[in-house]
Amino acid sequence: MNKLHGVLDRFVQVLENIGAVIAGSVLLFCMVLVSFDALLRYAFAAPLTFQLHLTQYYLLVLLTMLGLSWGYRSGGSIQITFLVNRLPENIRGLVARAGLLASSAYVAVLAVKAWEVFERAWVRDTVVMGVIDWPVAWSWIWVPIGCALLSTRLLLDATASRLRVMGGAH
Amino acid sequence: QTKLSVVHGSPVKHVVSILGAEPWMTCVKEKAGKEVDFNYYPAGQISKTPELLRALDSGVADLAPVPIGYVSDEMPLSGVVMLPGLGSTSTEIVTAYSKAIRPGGILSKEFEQLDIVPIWAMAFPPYQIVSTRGKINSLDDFKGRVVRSAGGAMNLAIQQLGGSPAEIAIGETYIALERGTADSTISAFASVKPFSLQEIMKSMSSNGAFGTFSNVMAMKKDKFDALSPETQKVFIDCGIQTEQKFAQTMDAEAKELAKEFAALGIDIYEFTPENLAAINGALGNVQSDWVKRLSGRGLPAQETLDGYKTLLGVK
Amino acid sequence: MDILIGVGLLLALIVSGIPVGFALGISGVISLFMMVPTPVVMGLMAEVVHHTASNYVLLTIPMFVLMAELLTASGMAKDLMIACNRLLGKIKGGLAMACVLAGSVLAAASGSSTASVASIASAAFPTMKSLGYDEGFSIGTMAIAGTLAIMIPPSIAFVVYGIITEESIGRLFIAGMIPGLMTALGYVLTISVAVRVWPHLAPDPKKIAEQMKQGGTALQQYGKVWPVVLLVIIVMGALYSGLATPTEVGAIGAFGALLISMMLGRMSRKAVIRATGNTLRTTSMIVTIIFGAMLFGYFMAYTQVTDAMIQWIADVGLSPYVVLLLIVFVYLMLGMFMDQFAIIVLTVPVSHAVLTGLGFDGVWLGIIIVKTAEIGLVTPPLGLNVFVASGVTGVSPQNGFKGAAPFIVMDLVILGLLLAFPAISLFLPELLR
Ligand code: NA
Ligand code: NA
Repeated sequence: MNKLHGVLDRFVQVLENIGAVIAGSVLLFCMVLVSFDALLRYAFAAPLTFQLHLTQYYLLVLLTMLGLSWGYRSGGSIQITFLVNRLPENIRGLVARAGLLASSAYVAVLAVKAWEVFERAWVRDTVVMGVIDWPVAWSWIWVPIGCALLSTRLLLDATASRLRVMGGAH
Repeated sequence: QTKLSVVHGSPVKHVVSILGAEPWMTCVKEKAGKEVDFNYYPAGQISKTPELLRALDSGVADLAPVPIGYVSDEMPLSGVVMLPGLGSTSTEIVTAYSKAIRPGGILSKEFEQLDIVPIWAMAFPPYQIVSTRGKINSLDDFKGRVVRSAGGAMNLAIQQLGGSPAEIAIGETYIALERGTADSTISAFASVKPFSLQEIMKSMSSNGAFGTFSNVMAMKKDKFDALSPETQKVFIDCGIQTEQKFAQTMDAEAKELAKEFAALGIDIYEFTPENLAAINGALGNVQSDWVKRLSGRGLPAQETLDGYKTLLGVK
Repeated sequence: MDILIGVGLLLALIVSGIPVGFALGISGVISLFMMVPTPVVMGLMAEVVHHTASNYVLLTIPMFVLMAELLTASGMAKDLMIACNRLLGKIKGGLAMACVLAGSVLAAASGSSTASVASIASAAFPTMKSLGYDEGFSIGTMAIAGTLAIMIPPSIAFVVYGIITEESIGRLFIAGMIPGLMTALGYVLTISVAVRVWPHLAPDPKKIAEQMKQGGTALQQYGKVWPVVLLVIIVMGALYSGLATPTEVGAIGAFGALLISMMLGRMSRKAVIRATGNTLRTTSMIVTIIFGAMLFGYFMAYTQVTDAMIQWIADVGLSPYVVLLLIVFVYLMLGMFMDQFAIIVLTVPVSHAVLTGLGFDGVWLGIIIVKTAEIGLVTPPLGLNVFVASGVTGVSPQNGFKGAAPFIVMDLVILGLLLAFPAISLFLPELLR
């Protein structure tokens, strides 16, 4: 059981790391793209007409969602602990696990519901008309991926034999 | 008693509220008596404007003013109303568009496929060109101008006119125009004051047809079918009353605002017939581009455009 | 009743140590189940994450954070803090005052307080900690310095208020300047008083003076600041020349920070990766909190509690000043539990109509409401700026709330002054009319 958990945990870690590398690259790309667009508009009155839509509906969603689970695992969360810290160790562990399970379920529902929107857009191949036809499904797909990964991470943490300390990456 | 939730994303002082949702609900409550009542959630408190169509689908809303400009994915043909060069007043546009969306009309299928029933339509008087630098008098004047755009068809229109469309988020339009990030924008008369544009604009055209924005108040079909035939009739009758009143008020208001802005020293001007013809000629390319792209996806775009033009009484 | 259950549940989840974003979402969803049918809850959940992530203005957060992280990674932020400390070092609490100064400068370039607080915290916290500042006090200072972004123009809060009420956005911007600067001065004053009353909050200036001298002469230290000054000029210049919008200016700042530090040979590939990772972590944390807060906000909307409160006040028929004070009180109460923008969008249409109807000035009202929003950003249990600062630094939020307490007192004093003397807000806009 513990072994299986360990294998799964490492597998999810690999996925999280891949997600973070992609998200990080997209973050830097956004920085260059937005700066470049502003310069083109200012100097040559020739902005990139696709920049806002591309950034808003694709790059931003991608970078926040693919970095979501890695961000959480690497300490990107905050909690108020003064009360729980006064509880006995075993009760504190129980409360933390219950909280993680509830969080995992909450994020799982978010993933499933967003997947349904993605699926509908994918099946019907819907596009938004802009200067080009923007495929809707490719804007949504990152939400179920990011939330499913985070939900799995929370579930693995809740069932780990030793509780990981939440937050506090520093 | 049936309780229906009416949801929209516009502020409560916006025309979608004060000339649309609110008078329509009042009318229905007066005429239908106690059979229906409304839960009213304006101002994006439970659903924002771009998500209203999906809010109808999921049941978050029973009735919502679907913003046609945001749903080109689900209702591409209905976007015909926003094309530039079609219709010169809100009344003209709304009268034609309302016929197109009702059962049997050229756009009714798009509503039926989504299991929603159109109740009333609204459309702003055609957008005008607003400049914070030099006045834009003719097609030539668009060259080298950076025009703030809301995206979509507006980008195409600006490009066809020879300008550079800069997509700038609506909340940043004021700052962008004030600082010169963009030097002009395409706007309805009614949208000038909400964004304080009158403080920084130098000129605004009054007889252009740079497109419009439309919302169609739509209702979930199962909820509509559950109403008695009398109440259904009340919903539609109140809808027609609301949309006509809306259009007349907006047309009159545009004239009043033009006077008000002129009194502030803003140059409110008409394009000469020749210049207007040249501009509308360029905008005609937007219509043909729209037809070409939708036809490419197997949609009857040419028939829709022709049918809509017939309803408008333009050739 | 529903509202009490929902708020109670939120508080219970937060104090049981569940990450704040999840606590907001879970309590929001459970409370929604009490009020609306299941498909509606599911419909809201389907939209909320994508809506939060696909908001163009959200871009300011990763971009300003990235800029700050790059400044930190290259050591330029530390140079700046050391120079500031040299400059203000003889004053106890000088570095905290430098944070307020940095907050004011950032505020003039950015409209988003979340982005502002995240950048200040990433840039300043490591130095403050190493010099011996109290952690909670540091977080409180950074969280409060970030609130300046919505009072000092340009400000997203004023734009939203202006669109809803049709008050002039330009006049609101001008009106926010004096209250904004007054607030900044108030914070500096608070710091100088707090460090005298509670000496453990800030290190003894004499002690750090020794440490400081190791970094070279004062002149050498000031000399190291020019890259940061250049960056500030780039960011402010980009905004005020019309090169970029407030959303885009963060990207230009981040790009500028990267280029400058690379040209100075102070940026390794490793450092870029670390800065990017820190930015991603902060961004994902903030996004999780925002969509959780939105779900909780939907629940608040269904209870219609905001309308009910303001409508009740309007209906009782009290004297205008009592109505004004009651409404301000309601804003402070709501500010504890709700997202500040949600409050403005939901309540301003009613409160603006009621109060301008009683003869109060709409622009002045905007200043008052934005001031209450600033306070709401740092009050528990839902104080976004404290959460962000504590998330960036790893210090517990309850310490942050404690550290922010003296500033909240100052904010309330300033709010009182703004209420008592409308001329503070309206003097400039009248002058420029
Ligand atoms: Na600001
Ligand atoms: Na608060």
